[in-house]
Amino acid sequence: MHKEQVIIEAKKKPEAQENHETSQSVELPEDLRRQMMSESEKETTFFKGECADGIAQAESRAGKDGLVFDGKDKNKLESFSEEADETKTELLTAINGGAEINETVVEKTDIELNRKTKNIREYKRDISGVFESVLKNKVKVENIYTEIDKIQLDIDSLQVNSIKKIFNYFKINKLNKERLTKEEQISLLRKDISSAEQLIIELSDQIEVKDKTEKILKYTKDHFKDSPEYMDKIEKIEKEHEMRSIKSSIIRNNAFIFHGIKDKKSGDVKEQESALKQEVSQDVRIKIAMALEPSLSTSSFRNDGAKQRLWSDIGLLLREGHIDAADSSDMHTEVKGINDRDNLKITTTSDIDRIMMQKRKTWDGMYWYNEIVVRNPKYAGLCVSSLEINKDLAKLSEELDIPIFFHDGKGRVFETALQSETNKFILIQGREVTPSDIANSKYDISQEKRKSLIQEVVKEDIFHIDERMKDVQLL
Amino acid sequence: MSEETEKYKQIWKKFQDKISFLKKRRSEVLKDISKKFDQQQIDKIRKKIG
Repeated sequence: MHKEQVIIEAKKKPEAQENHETSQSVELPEDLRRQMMSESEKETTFFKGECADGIAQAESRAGKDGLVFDGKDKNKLESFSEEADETKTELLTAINGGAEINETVVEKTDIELNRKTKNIREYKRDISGVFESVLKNKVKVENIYTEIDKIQLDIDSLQVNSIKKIFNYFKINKLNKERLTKEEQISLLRKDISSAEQLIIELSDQIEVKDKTEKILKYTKDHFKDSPEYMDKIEKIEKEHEMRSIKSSIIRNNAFIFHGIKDKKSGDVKEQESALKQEVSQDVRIKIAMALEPSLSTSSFRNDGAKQRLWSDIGLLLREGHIDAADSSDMHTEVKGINDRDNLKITTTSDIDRIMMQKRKTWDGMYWYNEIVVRNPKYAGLCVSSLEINKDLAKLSEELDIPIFFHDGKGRVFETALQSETNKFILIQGREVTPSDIANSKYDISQEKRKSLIQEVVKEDIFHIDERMKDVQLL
Repeated sequence: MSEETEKYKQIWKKFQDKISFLKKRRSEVLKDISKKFDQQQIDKIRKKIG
């Protein structure tokens, strides 16, 4: 046999180089053949082992994570082992010339291999090292799966937390809204309570004043009935009281007494001039005047054909009440309470008559309005200076069943009848009325209606009555 | 290099090529299995989340 050094080139197959050191020096073809038989056996065995290991790992992961290991894939891996066996058989057939591979040859080959090539035990040790490495990797895989499980748990946890957060967000948001609503309700209720309490105080005071006045008069009469001097004084007081009444005053002076109520278009009322907040609408102001009968600032005008300037185009004509003070011009009285005003000038009955009869011409030839402060007013009706009124006023007129009078701007006052058209409310001018007609007006709102108006206005946050109100002295 | 040696060399090369081919296919199948498993796990997670 020709001796020749042969190098099996397997550089393109590094795994074969690393594991089996196929680049071996072989002196003879026979040696080469034996080495090929041996190497092919190892290579095939190792390959089949890797296939089996792949199947085992896949089955393990599938079992652990509840995954489906496709049977076709398993069959493919198994078929690779069979193909490797077939490949090895092909090789053995090729190098043995079709002869059967008998055990003797194999044994001989092994002996030769043990002698001339790397010892099988060393390979086993190498394989063992590889399996150790595989086991280590399996442990790593297990660790990675554990980590994946942790991640999954974190995801689940995060998801749960997110859901909790979202749920809590909406829950908290809802609760916050509920809380805010409750707080708003509380705030509104507090305002209502405050307004109602203030009103109760005012009304109680009003009743108390009446009671006290009556008691004082009765006491005075009882104690001084035998004293002509004091009885004269009492009679004078009572007469004075009668003279200062609206009814007596308007008949005596043939004048109308008008309480102007401005709307937002005609200008805001100064805060100090009214107990009501500036934003309170005209119809609500009228309702309050009707319901509470507060101390009012009014003006008088007479039917003398002269152009008459009034504080407002819309208001109420008074039929009853008590005049506390009067002046020929605006006194700029300030509200002190619902039933009291400040900055009043001391006024006698003769002063009142003089002021109501007086004409005070202004630079533009019109007559300026005077100011008459009236306590406990009562009304004959609404008074307007236009024959077309707005919807709110028309609605209010119907609601309160109150007459509407028309003032022609020259001191004449007429009855009217309301005619409602589509979005238009026209007053049909009727007969002219005198101050005496107004004084004898039978119009009054019922106690029930007055009560419902009080309840209605108390619900509104309309009063700006401040600390001054607490020190109100009504007597 | 004798003809016989050359013949063995060719046979060995053919064997190695076939084994390499099988290894490559096995590697592809294992990757495919791994992908399928990953997809199954992703689907499970999505199902849990969704």
